[in-house]
Amino acid sequence: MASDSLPTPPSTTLTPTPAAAAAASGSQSATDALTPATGLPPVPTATAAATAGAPTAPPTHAETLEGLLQQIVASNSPSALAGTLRIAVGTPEAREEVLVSTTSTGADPLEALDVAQHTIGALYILSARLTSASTTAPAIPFAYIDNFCRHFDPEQARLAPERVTLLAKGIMQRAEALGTDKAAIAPLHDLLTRYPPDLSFLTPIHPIFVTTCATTSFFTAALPVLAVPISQISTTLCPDLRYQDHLIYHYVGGIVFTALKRYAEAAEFFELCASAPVAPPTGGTSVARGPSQGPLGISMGGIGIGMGMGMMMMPPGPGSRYFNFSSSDPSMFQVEAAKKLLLVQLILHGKASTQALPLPKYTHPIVANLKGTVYNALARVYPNLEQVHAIAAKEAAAFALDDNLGLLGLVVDRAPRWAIRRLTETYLTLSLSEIGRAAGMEQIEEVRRVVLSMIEEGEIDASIDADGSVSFADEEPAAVSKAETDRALRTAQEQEQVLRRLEREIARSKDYLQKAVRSREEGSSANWPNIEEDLLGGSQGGRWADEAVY
Amino acid sequence: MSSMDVDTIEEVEMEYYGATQTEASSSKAAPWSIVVDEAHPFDLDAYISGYSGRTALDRLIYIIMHSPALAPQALNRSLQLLTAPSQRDTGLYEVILSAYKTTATQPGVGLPPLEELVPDHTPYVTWIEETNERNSADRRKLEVELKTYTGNMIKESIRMAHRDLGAFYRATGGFDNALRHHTKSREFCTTTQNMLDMCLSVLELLLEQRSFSHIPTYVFKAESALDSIASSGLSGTSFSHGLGSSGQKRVDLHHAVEAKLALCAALSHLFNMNYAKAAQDFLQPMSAAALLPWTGKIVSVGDIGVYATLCALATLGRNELKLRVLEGGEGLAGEGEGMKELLDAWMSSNFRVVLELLERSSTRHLLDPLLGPHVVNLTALIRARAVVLYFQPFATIRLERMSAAFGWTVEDTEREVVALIQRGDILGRVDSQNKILRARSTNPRAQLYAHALKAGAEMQKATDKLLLRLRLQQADLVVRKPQPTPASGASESAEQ
Repeated sequence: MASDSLPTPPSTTLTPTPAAAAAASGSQSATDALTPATGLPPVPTATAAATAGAPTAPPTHAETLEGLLQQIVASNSPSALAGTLRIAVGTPEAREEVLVSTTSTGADPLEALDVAQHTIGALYILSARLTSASTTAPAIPFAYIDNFCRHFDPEQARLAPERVTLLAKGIMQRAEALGTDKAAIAPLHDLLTRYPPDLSFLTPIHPIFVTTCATTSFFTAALPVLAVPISQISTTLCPDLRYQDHLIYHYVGGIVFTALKRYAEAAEFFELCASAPVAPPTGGTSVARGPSQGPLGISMGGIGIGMGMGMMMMPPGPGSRYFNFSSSDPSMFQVEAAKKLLLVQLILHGKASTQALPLPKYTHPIVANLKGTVYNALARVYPNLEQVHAIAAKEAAAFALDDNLGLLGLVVDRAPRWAIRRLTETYLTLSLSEIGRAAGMEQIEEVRRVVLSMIEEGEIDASIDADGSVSFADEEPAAVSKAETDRALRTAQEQEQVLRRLEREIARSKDYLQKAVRSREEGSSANWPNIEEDLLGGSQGGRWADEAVY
Repeated sequence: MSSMDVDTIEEVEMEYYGATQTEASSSKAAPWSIVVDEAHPFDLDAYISGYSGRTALDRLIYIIMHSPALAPQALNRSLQLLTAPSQRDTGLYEVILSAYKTTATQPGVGLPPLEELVPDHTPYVTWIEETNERNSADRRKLEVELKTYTGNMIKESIRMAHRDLGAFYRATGGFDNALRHHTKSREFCTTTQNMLDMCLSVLELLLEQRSFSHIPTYVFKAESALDSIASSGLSGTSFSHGLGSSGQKRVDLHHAVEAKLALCAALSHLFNMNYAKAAQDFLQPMSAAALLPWTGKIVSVGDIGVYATLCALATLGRNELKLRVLEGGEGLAGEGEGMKELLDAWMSSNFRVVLELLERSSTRHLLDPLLGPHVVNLTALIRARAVVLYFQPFATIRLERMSAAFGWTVEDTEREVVALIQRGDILGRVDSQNKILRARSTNPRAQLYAHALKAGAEMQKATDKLLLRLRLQQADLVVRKPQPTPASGASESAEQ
């Protein structure tokens, strides 16, 4: 169903059949060609070189670098070549070993390849070389990487998606090893913007790129990418996407926005991470367990801006340490995102999810429930300055454990402003000293400074008289122009069309029809039109009701 | 008064944050020293004559502990009542004396020491000895009876023996034992009527001991027993006392039990500071006759009237109040000292008088062991409601004028109004420099537009998020424990 409904990239010959692959590989022996056909798709592993010492059969012609190079240069069908390279040289480990070697003359194979024309071949060699632990491979200058990322042919690269992911990881590793982390940003950005059809597709490069931006504190570099919301998930384009890519991208994206003080976007990103879908429990036995239990909770809590790069270096597959205990548990990323979201909401709205701005209804209950945490305690007293300070001082260790101390500082600094904002809802005029008393500030000049800066930043509409009395103007809702209304209507109509199209697609889909037929047979069709209401009602119902007072 | 104001606002605030803090606030709300003076009159004799038996003593002890001014008088009165022939609880003597001692030793009280008031203990000591002797004889007799019946295995007799022992322990102050025997008797209940009697005995005991936490359980049990009696009564078989008008009598009994259960539920809601629910239960049909065996022994009709009126004023809207209390109310609201005047003043929007009446009767209310802990909260709620009602018709009003209407200072008024605005009860803003309260000017048209746009944008965001979620699920990118083989497609995801 996914492949029906999702836009497919130009080439769909991603996984050639073994026979086609064998035919394409020409001189390759039949056994070699059949080996990978035994079932498992080849898993690219960053640590392949670790097994480089494993004994392999003496290389035949096809299994030497020259052989591969010849094939690469000779091939005129990129898709066939991708298939060949995928299964070349028997085991993936052996292939990686061949790919990182030099030709018998000691020449660098990359020099023989034109980046745009032989993207596939260059991609294989480059990614293997960058992620290899072998010291014999000649170093690749960053200029070459830059050049590759700027000029590779996206159509060809999409034939080997897992190599692209590997390349992205390799670039980051290499830059880190050289101690010039920032150098990775430009090539990663090129890779990320050129590889998918457009930026609304989530790729495994996304998290790698934003993480690099975040760790190098080069936040603005991530903005053009973050500005495009993810709306497409294509497993055809990126078969190696993992749920962590989605979580990490939005989590780190939220951190980047927070660092740039763009709190509204940060809140959106944190919310996306926190409310990500969690698999339903597979068996009846799994008991929902608080993810913060056990030592993992503590070690995971430390992912802040300086999130451990080791995480990103871990090879994909089982054993990564940020997996969950049981299938019904949310990821630690989600819990951390929910905590950060609460703090960001306090900065942004002066109140937080526990009371006024709940997470969507479909959020995993463990994530949504921050009751009993210091975060909830903070949100409850906010912006009462005295109590906020008390909690901040008393629970500093707990916030530090989650690496939220910096954010907490911002939240605390912002408290007087929210206290003053609240005053505007209650008073028309107040003297500066009264404001100071209410906001917990002693110095009149300090109060004046804060009020002035709030007026300047448009947070309140007020004026200060010569005698120190402040009058707050009535908050008139801004008049809505016709153009604005039209624009809103237009987007609503577009949205409606998108939804209608989606509905048709779903109504046509095999799964839906099967389900519909089954439920009709069982005569219980009455209970499934509600699903839709559940989902939409959950996210909107509460807020509608609140606002109905007008 | 002004310092108390701050307290009350905090009290009300706390209520909004749930039950955890209410314990602490209730103890704070019951100051141990309650003033009795010209402005807050209190007639001990008149008050206590409305009660008899153990309840009278309990109330006197409460007064001794909370009002130094009344303590000596209450001490005398309680010692008189203690030796009355119906009293059998000798432990109360020590309780009374120690209550007085505690109050007398509070700093700055200046009460005469106990020795001056009770120079001679001998009559009481003799009384205690005699009563104890009689009590233990009775107890032995009742226990032997229980043993005999248990030996004979006659269910009904065993039940009655347990019931009698329960009543005995209750009279002699053995609360735990009384409860034990009453609940034990449940095993030997043969009819639902027995069951109902047991529940009512336990409820009476719980009310007397002011232990409200178990009341809902027994109210529930009693209600189901009552229901089954009522339904079986329709078929005309059980529980009639053989008189000609048995149908009529049964209905009356039914009402009497219902009234008692409503009272119990209301009191337990009151105890839990759930004033709205308490008001609903207090307003159930009740009459002095229906509560008969309990009136005076457990509660007085006037008390219930006071509780009902205060809870109703604090939580009901003007219309509901009119409908359920003033016109055709079958409950006891409006009964009790000064409650009629209070309701009249309220309905004629004479809030100054309302507050004065409340203030004047505050001592009487604070010294009531059931109402005392809630007086501050209820007064605050009533006052807030009054301010809201008063401001409703105005667009702007000078705080001066408002304070005149309530009999407060301008500062008090401002504080009260500000608290109400912050809670969202009043839609207005205060001009603190010129002391004017101004209703919020609204431009409904602009607001509607702004609102529609905002709601639209939010809806769109929510939809986008849902779509992304849908795509994630289609691609099976859901958070889960790692599978041995990496999930590679949309195969199972479409299930969702």
